Amino acid sequence: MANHKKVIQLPVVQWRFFDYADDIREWYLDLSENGRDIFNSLLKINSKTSLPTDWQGCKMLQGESKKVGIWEWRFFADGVQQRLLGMFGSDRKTAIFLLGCSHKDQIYRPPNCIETAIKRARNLSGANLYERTINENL
Amino acid sequence: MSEQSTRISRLLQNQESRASYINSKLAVLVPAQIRALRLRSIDPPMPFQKDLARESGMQQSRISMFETPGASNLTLETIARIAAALRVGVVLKFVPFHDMLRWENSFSPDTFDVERLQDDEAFVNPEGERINENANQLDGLGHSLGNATGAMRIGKHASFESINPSTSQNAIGA
Repeated sequence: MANHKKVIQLPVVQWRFFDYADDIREWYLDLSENGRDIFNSLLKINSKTSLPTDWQGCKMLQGESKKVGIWEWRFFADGVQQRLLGMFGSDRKTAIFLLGCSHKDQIYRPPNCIETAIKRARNLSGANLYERTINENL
Repeated sequence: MSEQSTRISRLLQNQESRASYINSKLAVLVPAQIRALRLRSIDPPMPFQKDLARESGMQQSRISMFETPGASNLTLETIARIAAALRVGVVLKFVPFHDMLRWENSFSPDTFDVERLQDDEAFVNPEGERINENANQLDGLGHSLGNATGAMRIGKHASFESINPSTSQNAIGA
């Protein structure tokens, strides 16, 4: 006898990303055109990836950062590793970018970016979150 | 002028801008495919980068680079080696910009997978695949004939209804 299984297709909920502060936009605008395109493409693909463990270029940080749940997105642009530090939001499928920086020769630039990100992670209530739009037309 | 219209105008006018745009799509979509295929590989399983490194005869650090967006300008030779290790083929195809964008918009690592060589019946056993196709076609033909007979039956019933005005009116009234 045939086994009739009913397959229920759940609607795909995409991730939404928020900037913690204006300096993330400044970091973005400081990237070259190619760097911005890479970041936008990464944003698009990761928004459609259910599990953050499968996010492209995503790594959990260690130490104090790990305790507050900070991860980073890594991509290469303009001759250096670009790093975007972030954490999950309280709402389902939301993530907050805490700080944008670069990483070269084991050194983050600006050098205090990890400390700043930890401070921001602990002070989310004081943030003026700004949602990033994902442009499907470009 | 919006960011989008500025960018499109630059793409239309500037070769460097076009190259940069195309490069950025490849720089994210190629690593994303490599990573998704590695994680979905069952035979052999490749949960770690070192597994793909072993299969492709490359260093783990290189695999890490290939999976990092923007980190590596992969040569065609390297792409072929990675595809071979993942047991899949590659199509490099020049397309209009809108096709490139559509492919990017539809891509998700959640759903992306490719039939591996050992499971690729159409390639490994094309004769058997053709027999299966013919059998499916015959099966389809049988269904069509069955449906046609059904349609004839419905047709008879419909004509009976149409010559009985009272039933038809009742039907309309209902």
